[in-house]
Amino acid sequence: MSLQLNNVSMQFNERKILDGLNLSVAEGEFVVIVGENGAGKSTLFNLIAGLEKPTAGQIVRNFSKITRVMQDPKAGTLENMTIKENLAFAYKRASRRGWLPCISKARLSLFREKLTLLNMKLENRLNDLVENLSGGQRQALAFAMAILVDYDMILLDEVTAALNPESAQNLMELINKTVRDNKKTCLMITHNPDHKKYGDRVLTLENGRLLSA
Amino acid sequence: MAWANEISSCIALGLLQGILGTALFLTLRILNFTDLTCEGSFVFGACVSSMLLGRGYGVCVSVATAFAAGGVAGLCTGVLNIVFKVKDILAGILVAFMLYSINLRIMGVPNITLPENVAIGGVYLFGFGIVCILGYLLTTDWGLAFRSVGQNQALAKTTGVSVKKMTFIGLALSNALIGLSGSLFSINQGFCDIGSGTGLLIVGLASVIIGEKVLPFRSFYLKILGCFFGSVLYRFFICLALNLDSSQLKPSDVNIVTGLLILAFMSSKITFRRRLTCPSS
Ligand SMILES: Nc1ncnc2c1ncn2[C@@H]1O[C@H](COP(=O)(O)OP(=O)(O)O)[C@@H](O)[C@H]1O
Ligand SMILES: [Mg+2]
Repeated sequence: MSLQLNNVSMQFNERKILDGLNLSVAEGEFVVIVGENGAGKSTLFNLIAGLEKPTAGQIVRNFSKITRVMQDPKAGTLENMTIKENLAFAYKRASRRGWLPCISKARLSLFREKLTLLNMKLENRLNDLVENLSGGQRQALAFAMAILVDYDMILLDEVTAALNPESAQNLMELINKTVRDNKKTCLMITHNPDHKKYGDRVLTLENGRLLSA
Repeated sequence: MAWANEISSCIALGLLQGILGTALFLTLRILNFTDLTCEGSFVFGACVSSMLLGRGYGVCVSVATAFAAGGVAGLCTGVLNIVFKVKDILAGILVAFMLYSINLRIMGVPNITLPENVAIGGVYLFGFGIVCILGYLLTTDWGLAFRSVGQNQALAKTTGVSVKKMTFIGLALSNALIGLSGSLFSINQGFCDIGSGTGLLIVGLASVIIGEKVLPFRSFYLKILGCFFGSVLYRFFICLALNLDSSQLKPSDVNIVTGLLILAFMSSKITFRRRLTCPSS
């Protein structure tokens, strides 16, 4: 078992958002999570990523490397930096950052290759500031940043929410291919009913617990 | 001849205060930390080096100690902000406030005259070195991490950057440069005064803002060069305003001239390539 949440509760002030939640995810599994706005889905991801601690319960992680695409495209990128700088920033995630220039030829070709996968022509805009990108483009960039270095588990929080149906479909296919081909474990939050089919399981977050749909 | 003298003194003062501008650029623009320690750390640097010079130590030792002293002042602001969770503005003000007493203790009297003919010509080489080193550092992997702290702390944290460490480093480096600037300034003026820090924040800010407008480029080398350039330009403007007979201005009018100058530059329409520059001016 790769990720296990036992009786996890999370409370903000007096309000209980998660209440005795249980979840176990096996290695290589793709789990889709749905639920109303404010149900606590993003909060659940914060706990899994270790960004916050649960008020009660236990989380067992057998993952060393968790990567995540935040719900808010602004939260996942550095807006006063260029696209290539954002990627260079993500490229050094969790490793020592040395005194060498952050942009090199080898890195640029890697960045271009990853951006080409997104199919949004971002590979031609490496020198553009991220603040000039649309929300959807930022979200796609955040995904590219998340998969730039090795990871065991990826958390995707409404990654396609800011995209038009066509681009959303494209990105979803890319996500599916990336995750499946590399046998990564994936948890994905979505509001799009068409995207439920990508998961091995679909769970609904309701009243602080996860229910099988 | 009088004009030639004025001009060379403008350039000299401008370059010395350009170090202050660069330091403020680091905290205000890059780290996004409103650090008001500067009025304290500037005088702190000046006091420490004046005292050492007065006791017969060499220029290099005195100036280097002032640099270190400024760094310590910055670390204090860091401790207040990070350990005691005091807001950035208040942390800086508190440290500057407390430094006033310490500075007076160091000097003993509010004003001391320095030994004459202290040569600081090598300083300009040093300033050039700062531009190169800082400009380079900010484009490295480490620099990227440092800059990320000023833009998105949550993302920096989840990407494995130590926000606290970077804040400490930024504050220490910035205030060390301010201490250095203060020390060189006092040597240049030939005296050290307890009140010489008053209004310096605005002077530094003027350098940063004028520099951004005149050199609106994305390269960090040019941005830092802009701080020096802006500082020299600022000196010229002030000098011009006060020396024009027709202007009828007195030295005490320097504050209002400075304020209007900053406002003029901030709202000026030299905004070509604006998106490429720091947006928050
Ligand atoms: N740091 C916080 N402090 C207080 N309340 C919070 C905090 N984070 C989330 N919440 C509340 O928890 C609830 C669930 O939020 P969230 O997990 O973002 O919902 P969603 O399922 O839409 O992702 C919301 O009502 C939100 O206001
Ligand atoms: Mg959410």
